[in-house]
This record gives sequence, structure tokens and C-alpha cells, in this order.
Amino acid sequence: MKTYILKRLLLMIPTIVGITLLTYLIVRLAPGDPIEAMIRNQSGNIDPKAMKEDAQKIRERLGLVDYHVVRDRVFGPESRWQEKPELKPSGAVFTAADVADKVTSAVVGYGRWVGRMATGDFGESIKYRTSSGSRNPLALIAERIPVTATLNLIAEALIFFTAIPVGLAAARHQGKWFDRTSSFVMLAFWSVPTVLAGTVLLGFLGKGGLGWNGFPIAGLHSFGYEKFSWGEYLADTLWHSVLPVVCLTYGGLAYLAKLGRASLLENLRADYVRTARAKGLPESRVVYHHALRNSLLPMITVMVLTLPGLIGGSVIVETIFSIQGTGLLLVNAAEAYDLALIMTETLLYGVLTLVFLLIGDLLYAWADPRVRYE
Amino acid sequence: MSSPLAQPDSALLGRPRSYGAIVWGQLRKRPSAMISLAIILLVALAAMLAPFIAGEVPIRWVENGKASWPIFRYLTNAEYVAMLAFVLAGALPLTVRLVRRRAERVGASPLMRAIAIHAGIWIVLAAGLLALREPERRYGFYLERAGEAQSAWFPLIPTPRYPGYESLVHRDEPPSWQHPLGTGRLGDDILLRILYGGRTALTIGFVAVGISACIGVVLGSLSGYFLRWVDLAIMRLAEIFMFIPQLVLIIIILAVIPSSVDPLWAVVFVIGVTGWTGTYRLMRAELLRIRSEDYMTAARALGLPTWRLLLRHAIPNGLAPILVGATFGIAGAVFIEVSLAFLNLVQTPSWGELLTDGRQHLETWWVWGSAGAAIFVTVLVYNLLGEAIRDAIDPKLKI
Amino acid sequence: MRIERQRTAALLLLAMGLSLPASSAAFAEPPKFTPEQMGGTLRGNFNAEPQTLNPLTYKDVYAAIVHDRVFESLIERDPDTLEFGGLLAERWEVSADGKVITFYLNPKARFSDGTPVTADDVVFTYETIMNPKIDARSVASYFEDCQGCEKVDNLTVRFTWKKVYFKSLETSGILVIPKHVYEFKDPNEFNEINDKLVGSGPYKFGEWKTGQHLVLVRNENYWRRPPAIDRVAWRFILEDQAAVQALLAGELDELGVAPEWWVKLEPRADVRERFQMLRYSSPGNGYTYIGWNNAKPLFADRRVRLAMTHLVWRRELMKYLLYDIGEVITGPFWSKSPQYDRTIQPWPFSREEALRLLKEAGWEDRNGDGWLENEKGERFEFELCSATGNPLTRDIVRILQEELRRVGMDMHVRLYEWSVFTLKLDNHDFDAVMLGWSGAVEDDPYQIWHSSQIADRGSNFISFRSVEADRLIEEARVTLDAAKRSAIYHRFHRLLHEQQPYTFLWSRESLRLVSKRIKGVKVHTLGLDWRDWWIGKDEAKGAAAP
Repeated sequence: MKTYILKRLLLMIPTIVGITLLTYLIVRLAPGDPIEAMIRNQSGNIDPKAMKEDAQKIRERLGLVDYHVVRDRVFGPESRWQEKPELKPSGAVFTAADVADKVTSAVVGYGRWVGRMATGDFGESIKYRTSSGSRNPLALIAERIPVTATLNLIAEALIFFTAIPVGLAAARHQGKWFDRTSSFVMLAFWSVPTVLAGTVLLGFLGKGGLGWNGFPIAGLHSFGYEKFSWGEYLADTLWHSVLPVVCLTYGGLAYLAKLGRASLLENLRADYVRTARAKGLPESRVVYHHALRNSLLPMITVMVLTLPGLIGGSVIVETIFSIQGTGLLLVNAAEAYDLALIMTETLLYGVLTLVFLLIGDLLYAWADPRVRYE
Repeated sequence: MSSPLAQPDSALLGRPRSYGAIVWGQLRKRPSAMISLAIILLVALAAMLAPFIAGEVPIRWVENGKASWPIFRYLTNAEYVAMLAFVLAGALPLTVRLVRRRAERVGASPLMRAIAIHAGIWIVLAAGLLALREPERRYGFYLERAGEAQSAWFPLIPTPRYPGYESLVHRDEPPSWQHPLGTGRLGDDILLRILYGGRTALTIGFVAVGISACIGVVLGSLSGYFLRWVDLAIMRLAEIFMFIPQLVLIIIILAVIPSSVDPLWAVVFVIGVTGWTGTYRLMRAELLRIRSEDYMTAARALGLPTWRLLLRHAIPNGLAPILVGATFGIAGAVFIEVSLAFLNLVQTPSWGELLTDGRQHLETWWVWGSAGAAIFVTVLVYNLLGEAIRDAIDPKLKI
Repeated sequence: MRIERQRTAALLLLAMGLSLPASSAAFAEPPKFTPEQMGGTLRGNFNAEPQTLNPLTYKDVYAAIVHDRVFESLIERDPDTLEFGGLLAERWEVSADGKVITFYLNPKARFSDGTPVTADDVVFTYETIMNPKIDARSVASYFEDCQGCEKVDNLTVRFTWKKVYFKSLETSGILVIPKHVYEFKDPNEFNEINDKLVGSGPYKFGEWKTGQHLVLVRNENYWRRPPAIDRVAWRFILEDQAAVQALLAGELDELGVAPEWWVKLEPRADVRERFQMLRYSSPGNGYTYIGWNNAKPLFADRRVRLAMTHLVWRRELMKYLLYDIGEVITGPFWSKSPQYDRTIQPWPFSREEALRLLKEAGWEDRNGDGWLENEKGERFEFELCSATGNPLTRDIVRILQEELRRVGMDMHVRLYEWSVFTLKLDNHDFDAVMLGWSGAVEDDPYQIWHSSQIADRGSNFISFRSVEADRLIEEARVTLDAAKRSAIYHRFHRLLHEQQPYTFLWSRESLRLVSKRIKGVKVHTLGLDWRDWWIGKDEAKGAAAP
């Protein structure tokens, strides 16, 4: 078992390298200059020379400088690969020398990123700051994780505790109307796009909307929440969370309910259940004490696997309900080619997922003695 | 090849049926599957025949005693190619019957042969079309000049194909006889947008899933059959794609694609290239199971080359779960498109775009309602079908 | 730079026939608020969080709004007459040659911590801006021709300019930050400042909770009339619909809305009963345009460009897409500014006129295929591009595509992601673009229209070249007399109108709903002036709860 764990841990390394390298290359080689675009976006009509200088400064600070190593050393000034390039639309690459340069810069840049990251320096976000002014990507993510994690945890708990009874009832009444109806209803839930659900909920159930104006519209806290007592604060936060959590929950229900149903059915057909029934045990004990416990196992494993997803928020829910979570952060970072943030998030997510995958497998092995890993 | 001993058996059991036929038989008996297939077919047909259902170019136009069929000049090459594919697919049973005798004598599947023949015809005709024909694109003035014609057969809903200054007057109209699903902010017919949006959805669904299925099948079989280093390496590659959040990856790759590429195909390519890991794992598991089956050992003993082993024996037997995954994948691809449209990354007219446009104005319910309903029904139907196929494959659930 | 009402100085100037404020004084202070008027919280909304609240580095529009309340500048404009008056400076002097501007600071001016505003602070601000290591280059570029800023005595500071420039006064009247608060050893220290806001303005920094709100509180040491409203708070509701719902639910007091919301809310009696519906033109809104690449052979011919303008039915688009909230414009200035020549009428929509011009330029349907061709048989084909993310742009561009197809032009539409788009602009790699510029009360067209700004990624990316235009721009820059300058700009405006390097589309009006619980709200020429607003004690109680 120990060798197995070690082997898995070692195998993680090439995967992590692969993930981060791929992401880094794609972001570095993308056409367009995000820094200049950001500056121009923020300052309107600006002197171009000044903007170029500033962009260069920021690039240097973030380690995004292009190296002309290949062009100078390999291709040399007289080579035909150095033809005067025509200004091309994407502006990214003109000649073979430029391509080589860009790739070399990207690879070298990756190496430097790894080096800096090993010392704990995750770089700087181009676009974002935390409320205390830090540009550290870890701090940025950390600032938003509590919000996202809270919502996701509530949603996961809801999914779990709703899916089990539904799956259970469907399995017990297999083939009858409850089974068929619930199956269809779950599938119908799954088929509703989050955009639609969020919009309709907000528009019809939110304050100032078209229907019952009950639910809060934006954010997770009311204005002036600092003055609340602990109880009021909790109630207020929960009340604000209702609509977003509903949006996050309804989709996951279908999958888990079906899994629970299938798992329970399999167990109910198993020999040990038949034996238990033959022994004369009451049906409820057979189902709840024996079959259910065993059928929970795959469900739990699945839930464990979804834990890393807790830190990745849903950009749709966050935009519609104006919640400052990690989903919005990451999508905006991707759009702005915010390298440090994208890399930090990729690394974090990748490591977490792999670790939890391992934990999930170990859990499965611990729970089911038939499973053996060599 | 029938011996006297075998005859009584086959007389009792009837002709042996292929795996595909068994699965199809099971599907036929499930109403959810049949209804889903019918709806899918209907949507595809409607999307393909969109110019005949809603548009500005008449099907038949008689002026000064001369009759013409303008719509056929305006149909794009892509539309012809799609219609051709439909017709050829529909004619498959005929060809299957024709080639059955010859194919079975050689031991090949008549279905595969028929598909190959049709595919060949399709490619040749499609290439010819694309190379030789340029569709008419100029403004036809047909709607304005309707009075001048002696007879004009317009599509079911005569409405401009694209909004212009004149359409603006009709903006935000609720559903009516002229516009069954109402009009949008620019006075454009919503039904038309739904039909053409269906094309985008289907293209993204089928082509993207096609790409990811191909990649997944190939890599999965290689991984599952050869094991060891091959498996190790490809598995790492799969993990990479699995663990980068798909949306983030899509956004970044979309940015890298040169701007000369049509945005629709960029989106399709990107969804396809990032979504193969599910298929990969399924295929790998199947190959792990199949490689130790008796018929594989027998084929290997016979000295068949590896590629033939894989291509003709292993892969076809492992495809069933892939089909399930692919069907769910199509539903998933439609969802991804909606998310991308929400982030303003999609430029082709699509359901996601319609939903995103209309969602902030809840009173014009026909805009977001139509888009939402279209997405919902499509995704639901593919999910139902996927489930039905999954049940059809499962021998324990045989009806 | 907003201020109160009429003052005598400008009248005196006019009387003296001098439109150049060779020296001027501060505006008179309005009467203080009564105790009943004091109190309350004003709740507004930002669609996104400000990137940073640093007073000098790159800032977005939200940071600018916040700075407007926390910092003050040396001079300000009267919101109705648009004349300059002193704020931190009680008066100023411009030398005869126009190159030296001396400001005399008001001895009563104080920062929120009580320290007086001195010439040292002004010099510090200037030097920080000009420090190349500070990320303030957009502001610094305005001081390109400034020789220096020096302290004459504790309350006097002098700006010396290399050339005469009509904007020198406006530029010199900078926002002043306190030296003792912001001074630094390492420039990066300054660049990193995010939420340290200490200024001389009527409000000071309260708190900023990311994702929640940003609050300013009244500066109790404010050296002029203290504002009536205790606190100003902004929430961060990202989406328009949610923000409107919040407004209607009573969680916000004021909100800027887009035209499509206005037309939904304005007819409602219940909305009009609770809110003041304000609609006004503001110079910051700028204008939208279609820029034709004058360097490409297709659009090098003036007749073709003019034909294109005739084909854009601006009135209809304005009416149906923007609900007539704004006006069609013909030139690059704010329509209420003296620079804008109101006698110039926009070219009317006319397909016939367009086709006539195109025929003159050699474009007509020569073979009956429905498309326009020139003598060489090339089809009239081009690409219009813009940036993604704006549904309005997308709609307009699609309508245009259809309308041009009707006339026989093959226009392709491409929307690019912003950073790729800016690259295309810089490389002049486009046929036509649709874009907008933001504006000011008085704009210097140099950056956008002068031929020297074509190369080196200047803002003249459409490659507009006109010797006459260059001459007019240069002449206007050094004309300090406002009336003469406006006359020059009128000639420039007419030239652009004839040449049509852009098809100017429109400038939009601002739409704002302000709760009736907020009193003293008035629409001035420059827009709204929050300094006059008050809530009052009774209302304040009702509004404290969310």
C-alpha cells in the first residue's frame, strides 16, 4: 500500500508539470497584448510612447519579457529567416525567427516561473488587487475562497441529503410511478441551463422583481451588516444564499440521485440481502441498515471527488447574483491573460484534484476490503 | 457453411443478430428513446430546412410569365452538403439490402459497407459543390416586390433574413400570426433565430463531440491495449486535460486561435479538443476488458496484424458505452455553448446568444423563453436518449 | 471639478470684454446647510469594483468618481457657465506671453487631517506625476510641454510652460495630494497604494469591503461648507437588472441606467412618484463613430466616405436602439461646448445620394450581379471590425451589414477580443472600425486628428491627413482667447464635416434615477452636482436600514 501511494504521488509530478506547462505556453503565445490593452482600457486617450514604456515596465516586473535569443544566435542578422516582417493582424508572429523566439521565451519563462514558485513567489496579478492592496494571486484566491466554499458546501450538503432519500424511494418503488416520475423530473432539472434558472429566480423571486419580492438581489450580506449580532448575521447570510445555492444545487441532484438509485438497486439484488431477507429480518432493517450503508459508498466517493471543485466557483451564478467568488476571478483572469493568477489557480486546482483523487481511491480501498492496490 | 447439426439450432433461434441489432431492438421497445429520437430528428430537419420555414427568399417566383426557384440559388453550399448527408443517410437501408449478399459472403458487415459507399459519394459530391459553386448572396428585394409577382411561394413565415432599418419598427413584438415567437430588439423574427440557432447548436454538438470521441477512442484503445509506457504517457496527458477547468482552457485557447478562422469552428474545435477525457477513460476500460477476451486471443493466434485487431475487432465491440457518453456529450456541448455565449465569446447566432440577450428583460418573455425552451428540450432529449441507450446496452435491463 | 452657482468674477470679465481669464477669483460660497438638512447616507452602485483608489496612477471611471469627492484641484468649472473659478487656489495669474501661470492658494484650505494645503503639496503632486517610475503616464503626458512647477512662497506656486497652449491653465490646475501623507522613498511604494485616501475634499475614506461596498464619510475638518450627507456608499451589483431591482426595492438611492431600462421605468407612475427621472448631456460621455481607414484605396476617396455616411441612417438607429436618448452629432466635440458648431446639419440618410456619389467615384453595378464594382471589376468589399462585449455595437453592425448588402456592398463583420483589436488599430490593419471616444468640456483635437499622430501607434489610426486641418489645430492650440479659439474650431469642425474621415454617429445622454428622498437635485449644464444634495434628519432615519 505504501509503495502504491508513493507511486501515485510520484506520478502526480509529470501531470502537474504538464498542466502548468501547457497553460503557460498557451497564455504566453496568445496574440494580442493584454498589458497594453489593459492600460489603454483604463486610461482612455493616452500618449502612445508613454504607454509603451509603461507596458514594458509592467512586463519586466511580471517576467513577461520576450527573448530574442534564437533570432540573434541561431538565425543571425543576415539569414533569410530574418526578412522584414509585414505587419500582420494578430501581431504575434511574423517570421520563423519570431516563432522560435516566442516559443523560447515561453519555455524560458516557464522555467523561471517554476524557480520563483519554488521560493514561494507566485507573481503578481495584472488586473486584480485584494482589498488590502496585495497583488499576490494566493491572497486573491484566498480572499474569495470562503465565499465560494461556503456556498458550495451548502449546495453539496443539500444535494447529498436530497439525493439519498429520492434515490432510496426510487429504488424501493422501482418501476412504479414514483421511480419513473422522479427520474424524469431529475433529468428535467439537469437540463435547465444555469443562466435561465438564475435569471428567472432573480427576476421573479428577487426584491423589486416581477413576482414575489422576497429574496435579496445581490451579494451575501445586507448593507450595514457590521452592526448585526451573530444570530442576525448568520440569518442574513443564509437568506442571501438561498437563491444562489438553489442554482448551484438543482443540477447536481440528478446525477447523485441516479447514482444512489442504481447503487441501491445493485445492493438490493445482491446475495447478502437475499440472505438477510431469508433470515427473516424486517424489510426496513434490510434496506436501511444493510443495503443503504453499502450503497452509500460510491456516492461518498463521488462526493469526495467533487471536493476540489469547491474552490472553483460558478461564474454564471456569481455574475447574476453579484457574488465575489473564485469563478468570476478565474474567468476574468483567463480573459485578461492574467498569467500569474491563471498559473496559480491551475496549480492549486490541479494539485488539489490529484490529491483528492488519491484520497478517494484510498477511501474506497479502506471501505471495501475486496479492493486491492499493489 | 451450415452443417446438418447446426440446422435445427438455427431453425429454433433464427438468424444470429449482431450486437448493434440487439441494442437497436432494445431501443425500439423504449418509448422514451423513440420519442427522443423523433424530436432530435425533427429539430435537425427543421434546422436544416430553415430557409423553407422562415426567410425572405421565395421558393417559387413567377414574374412576367417566367417561373424561377430563387431559394435554390441562395442555399449555401453547406446547406446542400447537409441535405445531401440527410438524404444519403436515409437511403442507407436500401444500399444495405443491395450489398448484403456480397458482404456476408466475404464476412464483412453490410452496414459498414453501405456507410462507406455513401460516405464516398457524399465526399465526392460535397467537394465538387464547394469547388464549383458559389451561392447567390445579393439582396433579393423579394419581400418588397411581392406585389409585382404573378405568383410567389414564400416560406411559411415571410420575414427578412437579417434585420435592417425597416425591421426596427417591429421590435419587441409579442407572438402573433406573422411572428409565431414574436420579434426581438431589432425586429428580427425569433422563430428564425431559433431555427438558425439550432444549426449552431447541432453543429457544435455533433462536430465537437465527434472530434472528442475520435480522439478519445483512438487514445483510449492505444492506452488500453498496449498498456505500460503507452498507457502511462497517455494517462498523464488525459489527466492534464481533465484537471484544467474546461471553461478556463476554452477561453484561453479561443484567444490563441488566429482571427482568420471562423468563430463558430473555433468554438467547435476548442470544445472538441478539451472534452475527450471522458471518452478516453471509457474506451480504455473497454479495451482492458476486451483484450483478454477469447476472440481476441484467437485473432492474435491467427496472426492478424495489430491494427486490424484493433480496428475491426476490438474497437467496434467497445463502442457501445462510447455512444452513451457521446450522447450525453452533445447535451454537455450545448450547455458549454450557453456558458460561452454568457461570457460573450460566441459570435455566431445561437440559442445561447439569444438567451443572454434576452435574459435581462424578463417582460419580453418570448425572447428568453424560446431560447430557454429550445435549450431545455434539446438537452433533455439527448439526456433521455443517452439514458435509454445505456439501459439498452445493459443486459440486466433487457425488455 | 464641480462647483456652485453664479459669481461676479465671470460677469466682470465679460464686462471687461476679456474672455481670457488673465486672473480670476474663486466662486462665492453657497449658504450653509441647516441642521435639519444634515444627515443621511447616499447609496449608489458601481458595476464593477475599482481596480485601485490610488489618486495618481491609472484609474477607471469608478475610482474617478470616488476621487471627485475626496480630492480637490486648484481650479474648477462652474457647472452652468463652464467658466473656471478658483478652488484650492483663491486666484491665479497668467503672464502676458501665456507661458507662466501663478496660483495663489487659499490660506483657509485644509486637508482632512487638519494640515493646511501649501505650495509644497502642489509641487510634490507635480513631481510625483512627472516621476517616470510612477505609473501615472497618462496624466504626465499632459505635462509634456511643462518646464516645471516651483514654489514661490508657502502659498504661491508657479507653472512654467515651454509653449503657449490653451489647455495649460486647465492642466496646471491639478488635483492636489498631501505630501506628508503620500511621500515615499521607493516609487513602487507609491504605486502600490491602494486605498489610502487623504485629501482636502468634502469626504474622506470610510471603508472598502471587497465584494460588498465602498463607503466615504464626511470630512469634519472640511474647510468650506460641509456637505449635508453624512456618508456616501456604493455597492457592487454587477448586472443592470439586479441593480434596477435594488433601486426599486429601496436599497439604492440613485442609479445610472441604460436607455432600454429608462423606457421601461419612465412611463411607470409608481416609479415617477418615488424617483426623479433625470436626463442630461455630459461631456464625459463622448461619442461613437465609424472610422474609415483613409489610407486604404477604398476609403481614400472622400466621396466614398461621404456615401457611407449617407447610408447610415443615424436618426433611425438612434430612435430604435437608443430610444432617442442622445443626439446625432457631426463633429468630435461635446455638442454643448462652444467648440461645436451647431449650425452644421448632419448629412441625411439617402441611398440615392450615396449611389450617386459612388458612381462618381467609379463604383456601380456594371454587370447586373447586384454588387458594386469599379472599372477593374473588383467588388466593393471590406471588413468592419470592433471589440466584443457590447451587444449594441453588435446589433448596429449587423443592421449595417444588411443595409449595405441591399445597396450592393459586401461588408464583412468581425468582432475581436479587446487586446487583439487594439493591436489591429495600432498596426492600422483594418478597413473600418466602430469605436468611441470619451470627451471633455473642451477638447484638443491634436491627439486624434493631427497628421503627426498617425505613425508610432498614435490615436490617429485612420491616417487622416490634411494640411489645412493640421494648421487649424496648431493655431487653436496657441490661441488663448476662448472666442477666437472656438471660431477656429468651428472651421475645423466644418472641414471634418466635409471630409468625413469618420462617420460620426451620436453622443449619448446620461440617464439617472434619483430617489425623491434626496433633495436639492438639479441638472446643470455639466450634469449633476452632488454637493448640493441633502437628505435631512427624518429621511435619514428611514434609510439607515437596508
